[in-house]
Amino acid sequence: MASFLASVEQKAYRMALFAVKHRDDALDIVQDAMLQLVQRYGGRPDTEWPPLFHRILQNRIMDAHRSKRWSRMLTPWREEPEAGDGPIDLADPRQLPQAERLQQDRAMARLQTALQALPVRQQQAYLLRHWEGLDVKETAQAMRCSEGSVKTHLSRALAALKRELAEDWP
Amino acid sequence: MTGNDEHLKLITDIRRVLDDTPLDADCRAALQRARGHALQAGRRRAWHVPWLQVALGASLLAVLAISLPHREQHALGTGAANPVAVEQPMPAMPPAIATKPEDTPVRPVSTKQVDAKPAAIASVPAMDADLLENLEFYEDAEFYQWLSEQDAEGASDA
Repeated sequence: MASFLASVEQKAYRMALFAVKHRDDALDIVQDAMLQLVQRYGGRPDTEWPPLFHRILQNRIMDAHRSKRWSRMLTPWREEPEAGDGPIDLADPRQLPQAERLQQDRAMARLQTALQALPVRQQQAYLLRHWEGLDVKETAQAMRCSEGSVKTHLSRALAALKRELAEDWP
Repeated sequence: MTGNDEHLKLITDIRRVLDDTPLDADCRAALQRARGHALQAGRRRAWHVPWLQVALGASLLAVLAISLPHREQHALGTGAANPVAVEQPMPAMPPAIATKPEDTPVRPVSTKQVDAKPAAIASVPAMDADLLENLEFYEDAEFYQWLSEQDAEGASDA
């Protein structure tokens, strides 16, 4: 279980961060998802863990997104971090040389802006299908929707990303 | 380049950028802590799984079910130290006694009497002595009856 969680936690954190746009909230979401997987499904065969984990994670992301939307509606005077404020988390400076790191950061910042501009369901569909590598059926199970809905979300997400990242990217 | 190829290239580029951008050290440390916390909580939770609670409840009930009758017996003052001793059958008669129906014991002792008076269990050897005494008495009685019959026959013959 520990090695499985270690293998998925960074991608899970990124997905949560794109959706809720707040570092601590994203960490809470990932921790909740890991906790629930260990407590409820730790006894299941390890082949069942990936779809279960993604399902829990997507539910948590949607819960956080909904509560954030309600909070924005009820307390509009509270300040929220904007989606286009640039990269929320920076790459580890020890990993790359300076020039490559700058280019990587710019590419990541534009991608992050483009992904955060997507509706949450499109984000989820795109990241699960094209980054996490789930097939359409598994993506539909994780998102609790039909395969047709997943295809629709994917198509719209891809069109939007193509518009945003068409020129001079990466 | 067709639209499909463009889509594939875009997907590949996005994946590459996402994979090549590592998280900062603080985030990695926070995730590691979160993982450790989840695993630790999962280990603690193992003692609270439903089947374990059911098993513990069932064993507690079994212990109560076994111990309660003993407590009742002690409370009534009728309990023997070992319940098996109460159910112990009467000692078997010697073969010589059992072969003749008329040699059955004069004072039958039922198991109920044994249950009601645990002291009787302790006096089983005394009961055997009584039986033997009765047996001797009957043998004597038989002998005297036979003798009297012989006498009567002799008298009638005479």
